[in-house]
Amino acid sequence: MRTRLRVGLVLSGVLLVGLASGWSVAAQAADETPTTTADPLAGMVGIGDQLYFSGAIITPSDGSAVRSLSARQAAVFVQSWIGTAFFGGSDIAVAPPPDLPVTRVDISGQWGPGNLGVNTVYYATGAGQVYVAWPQNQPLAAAPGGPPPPPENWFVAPARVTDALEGKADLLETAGTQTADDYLTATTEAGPQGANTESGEGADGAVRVAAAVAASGVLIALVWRRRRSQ
Amino acid sequence: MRRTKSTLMAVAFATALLAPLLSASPASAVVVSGDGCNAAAGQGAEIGQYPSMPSSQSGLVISCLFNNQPGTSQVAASFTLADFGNANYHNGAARTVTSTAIVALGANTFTATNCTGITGWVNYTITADPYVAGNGVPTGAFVKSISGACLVTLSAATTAAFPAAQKFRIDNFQARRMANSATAPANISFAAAGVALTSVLSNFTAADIGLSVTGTEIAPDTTITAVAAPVATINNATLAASSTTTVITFGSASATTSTRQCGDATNTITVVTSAACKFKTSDVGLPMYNITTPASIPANTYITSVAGNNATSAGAAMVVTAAAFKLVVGDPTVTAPNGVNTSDQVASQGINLDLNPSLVAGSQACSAEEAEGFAVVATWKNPGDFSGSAAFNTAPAGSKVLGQIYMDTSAADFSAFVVERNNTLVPGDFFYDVVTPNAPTTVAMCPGTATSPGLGYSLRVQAQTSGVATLPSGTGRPGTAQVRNLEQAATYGAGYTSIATLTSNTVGVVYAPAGQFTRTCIYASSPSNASFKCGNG
Repeated sequence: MRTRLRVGLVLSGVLLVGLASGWSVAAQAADETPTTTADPLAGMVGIGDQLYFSGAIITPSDGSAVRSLSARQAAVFVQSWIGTAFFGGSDIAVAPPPDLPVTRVDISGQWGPGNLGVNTVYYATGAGQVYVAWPQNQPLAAAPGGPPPPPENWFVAPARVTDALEGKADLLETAGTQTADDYLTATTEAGPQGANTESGEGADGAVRVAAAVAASGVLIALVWRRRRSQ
Repeated sequence: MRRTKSTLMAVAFATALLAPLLSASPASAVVVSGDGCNAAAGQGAEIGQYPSMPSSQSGLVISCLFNNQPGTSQVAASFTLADFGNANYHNGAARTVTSTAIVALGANTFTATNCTGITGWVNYTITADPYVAGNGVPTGAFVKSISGACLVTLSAATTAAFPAAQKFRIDNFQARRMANSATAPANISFAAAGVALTSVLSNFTAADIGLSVTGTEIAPDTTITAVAAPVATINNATLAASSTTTVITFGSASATTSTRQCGDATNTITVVTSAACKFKTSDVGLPMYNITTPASIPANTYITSVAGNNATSAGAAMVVTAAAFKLVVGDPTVTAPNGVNTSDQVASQGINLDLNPSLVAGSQACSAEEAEGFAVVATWKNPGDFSGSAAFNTAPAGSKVLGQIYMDTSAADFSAFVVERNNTLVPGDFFYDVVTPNAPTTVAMCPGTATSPGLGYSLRVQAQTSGVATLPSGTGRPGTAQVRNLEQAATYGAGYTSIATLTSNTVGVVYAPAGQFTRTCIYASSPSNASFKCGNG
């Protein structure tokens, strides 16, 4: 009887650990876990509208060190300004003062349906204002670091762009992040991956833990009931 | 027994509890009341056209609603409207020719630097390029002949001198217009109730047989049945005799091949192959361009023959490329939607959606469930001049793309493309799709909840642009001075039923029920009443 109880507790523990680790693996998968080798979007993080990102290279104009963003950080960065680029209104079309240093960001991923490659975006900030340029007519580059497109289509972007560029922001849940996983699941045989948002992950993880606790309770009760009836 | 039952119940309970959590499931399409493009979906929702009359220019309206509830969302980034079956978009292509020398005032001829493939272009309309009203080529002028030595003979003398290397555009079809006046009362003449049209100026040839004939004195559905220059015989008796105000148009109802972009081209040194381009004999004489870098087609490459998916050129050898490239066939005509002014508005778009204020400043909090509204105007881009980021402006692959409806926002752009398909009902005719490959619908939209306001999307494509509307009557090829028009009902028979359908191209989103995303227009036989039966409602 004691053995059965022990087995039940062990099973419950395994279930708890498994679910919890599954949660963290799912969270990791958003950044780096390719699930199939044939899936061109494996390891990318989606933000909706068929935009998925695998990383970015940041090249400051002041000669400081080049650094990179992970897939998730690159997705956060694009998400931080792309909505404003489309819906910010005509007042946002403002170029930065010419004396502001401009940072080049080469972002790799899928830029719309089937368009795998790199787009270059420019960033500048000064006097509390954040500026982003996403040159509209640049060709999709095969790799980062190529000839830069001329900075154009400047606009005033939300303040959170700066945090996003520094890797300090996280993905906001949108209709796009809600559906990005569905697209991956439906188009590939890969498991769910991509844009699990911070809040989404939290909620999802909490539910998983709650479920694990509930399931463990059921198993413990089951074993306890068996022990009593014997 | 009791123990077994308890065990099973416990396992079933645990399984039921865990099953949906252990694997993520994609969103499935669920029928949701309120999705669609008709009055049942919401007030003002529609797929309509104004006016909905055969043989008229007609604008298109798509106004649809899509829910954004979790698991049932019908918000898609990519969608296609299969336009009404008798809708036409701007038809035709041009060949640009260049004069070798000064063209004098009053000249009826000039010599072109290159006439490869166009020596058979007889009775094709011609305009100076760029077009400026009154700049020297009389309105309605057409090419009477092009010799092997590239001597171009015009139907009317120039009204101004042109410098050397002047460019002219020639349309790729023999449609033309005859107008009488007090000073020229017999450019075309005919008796009442007769079937013979007499016109030396019209330069009738056997190629004119089958062309439509329209005018005040001409019965509906009239065509040319025989030609013995200077007389053309028509199938219906005239309604009245000609006069000094008579204007007769030939071939305005005919369709030919259009300027287009095809993304699937490959080539040898003399042949370009493209299934998407659907080459026809009316392509002979048109230029070909490779707009993908590196360009494999040298300048002044013209089609000299077509066979199936192949177009052959007799020009300089092409560079053989391994990868498929974007091929453009033809130059835009003067009556193309941006043929006069490239910044003319061709469409407008209205969008209602709930935006996250952290991503778009000024928006209401997502918790307010309040949709914000945006309007964008669009311009027309001809093949070879498509614009915008790859992310939101990539023309559909493997398609025959006639133009880009370019939504120009302040910092980023997106597009719809007009795609031509072969008409499965009328050989030689076409169907058209308006394809939105990727629209920014979800990147900043608040996450779906049970009470999300959803997406309201409206696209209005104009029948004509303002610049083309100002062209003098008779400029360019007759019957082509529009963005969109409806063909004569006779083409399809009285009571023809025309259907337009909106479909989602986004995986996981199926517009349902399908009937909510479809509109049917049934055209009464002539005479038609004025009505908006295919409009709102």
